[in-house]
Amino acid sequence: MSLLRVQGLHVEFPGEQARVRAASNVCFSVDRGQTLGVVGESGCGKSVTLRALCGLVPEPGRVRAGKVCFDGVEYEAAGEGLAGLRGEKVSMIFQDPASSLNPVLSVGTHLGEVLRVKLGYSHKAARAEAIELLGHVGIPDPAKRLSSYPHELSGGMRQRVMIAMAIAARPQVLLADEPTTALDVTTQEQILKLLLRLQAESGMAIILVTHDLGVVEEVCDEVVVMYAGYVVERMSVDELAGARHPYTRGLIAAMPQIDAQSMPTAILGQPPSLAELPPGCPFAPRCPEVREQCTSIDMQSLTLTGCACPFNAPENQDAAGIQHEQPASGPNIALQAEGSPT
Amino acid sequence: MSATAVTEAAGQVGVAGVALADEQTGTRRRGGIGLWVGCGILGLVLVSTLVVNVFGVGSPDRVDLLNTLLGPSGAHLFGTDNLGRDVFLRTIYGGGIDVEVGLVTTIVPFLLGMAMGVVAGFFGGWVDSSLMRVIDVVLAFPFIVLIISFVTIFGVGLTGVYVGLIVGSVPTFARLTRGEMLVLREQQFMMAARTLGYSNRRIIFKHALPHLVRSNLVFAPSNMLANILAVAALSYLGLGAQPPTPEWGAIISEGQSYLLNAWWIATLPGLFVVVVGIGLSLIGDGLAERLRSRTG
Repeated sequence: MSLLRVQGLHVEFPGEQARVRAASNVCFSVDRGQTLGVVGESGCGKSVTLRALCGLVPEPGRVRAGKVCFDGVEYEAAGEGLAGLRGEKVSMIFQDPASSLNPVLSVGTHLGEVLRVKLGYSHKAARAEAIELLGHVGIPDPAKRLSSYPHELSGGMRQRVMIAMAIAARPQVLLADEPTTALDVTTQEQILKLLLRLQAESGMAIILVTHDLGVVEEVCDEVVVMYAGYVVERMSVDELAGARHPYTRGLIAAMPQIDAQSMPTAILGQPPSLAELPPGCPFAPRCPEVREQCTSIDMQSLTLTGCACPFNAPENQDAAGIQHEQPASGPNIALQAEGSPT
Repeated sequence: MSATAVTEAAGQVGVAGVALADEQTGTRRRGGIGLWVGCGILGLVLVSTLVVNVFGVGSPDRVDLLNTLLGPSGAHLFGTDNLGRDVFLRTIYGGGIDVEVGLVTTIVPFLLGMAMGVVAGFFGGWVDSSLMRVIDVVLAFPFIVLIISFVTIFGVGLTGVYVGLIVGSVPTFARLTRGEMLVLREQQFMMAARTLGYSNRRIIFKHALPHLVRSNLVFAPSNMLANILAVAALSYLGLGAQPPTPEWGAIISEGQSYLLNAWWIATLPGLFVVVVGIGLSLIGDGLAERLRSRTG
């Protein structure tokens, strides 16, 4: 039984002509102590999905449908989502540590507030715990740093403070929205290691949104690949190299390799406008393996087990337009049965 | 040759460095001086007004018919008017009304406007729309016309002026705050505060308010100046404070008929108002400078 399971999440924004579907039929799950990577191009609905989980979809967006099952309790995502849990059971860290701390409040105020408001610490106890937390996330001389303001800290330090705030209430799920994108590579490494260490200590689940497949390979257990608001493939990280969906393979081919002779190959074209998605598979217009049936794939009612592309997923060879209604028996088994990708 | 070149270069660097440092401290000191001069002027006016009004030094209405229309001198700094009243004393007493009007019609709209702006900007949607339409209605009236209409409702005197100035000043503060709040709402640290599960009240008061106070504080002296000038103008027109109340606009109005043979009655209180205005402007500028550099 997984700790957090998301099913059929739909997020919409009212557009000028048509509704913009930022996330459609998003399904994934994550277990205790596991890290789920969410990858995809910019604007494919990764961040909006995370925000929907805490009921923080930016105005005027709306969660249209979906269920979130957290620790055995089911929530309707269309309402407040996990809003009631945020800060205690679910925490979030953001992409840009430069702007995720309030410039007029000191580090001590930031941390102390979390502890006092959410956990009922006294002023004195909060201070002691804040020092403890800062030390824990690897900030040297934590007692002195309490009186520092965000602008006095480096990017990595700010992200550490942010992480300290996020883990203060010992959440069970940490939503990390590109936590290392704004940091340089060395700091990125440190922050990822810190997250893994904290995860090993507390057994929390991490959902990590990123652009970087390298990061995914390094830290994640499971991967969800998103395209144009849809989840197109779900797999364990070991299977990333043998990914089946043409989009995932395109992403991997577009990664620069240090030792490779050839240049990375780009995926031609642009992602479709979310207001006017092509019928059927959203990747069809850019897909190198596109077939006639691609336009009739029913992405809306698909229960994804492995790969959304019926021509690359072994369990659905019968035709396009079918519903992949197989129980979640685990994508790996199905994928392994088929062998190498075409 | 190379040695001299090096020392020369070093000297130039040194000179440039010194010049740079001077320039920096210079600008900083200039910004600071403006603020202190402004505070000094306002402080002096406030203190003298308080002392005179509270302890009653002389009487602004004491008529001395043997000494009418005397020019400025050591005994009568601004001279005397057609009834022999000391113009300087009347001006200082007048500060009581003008500064009070200025302060009240700035502090009340400051709080009211900020509250409206914060609510409108934070919650958005229909709350925002309805509050902003109310403010648009107020702004649709020319400032002076708005106040005169309130004077018409409440009758000639200071009550209408107070109400009019407060109503007329709220929109600017509200719009300023709303604009800042809209920007602030999209900031990641506001989002972060919400993901931590803080209540709206906490987010507004603790996380947003320190940012919003700044711009309002910078604008407040300008608003106070505008309102002091407005009350003086209304009294000059005979709609505000009534004679023989010592009020800057009223004093100037009374002295107007004697402008050709006793210029000091209207001119010197007028200059006094100008100096107070400069003081307030300096405070506004200084605050803007200081608060900007701090957040940098």
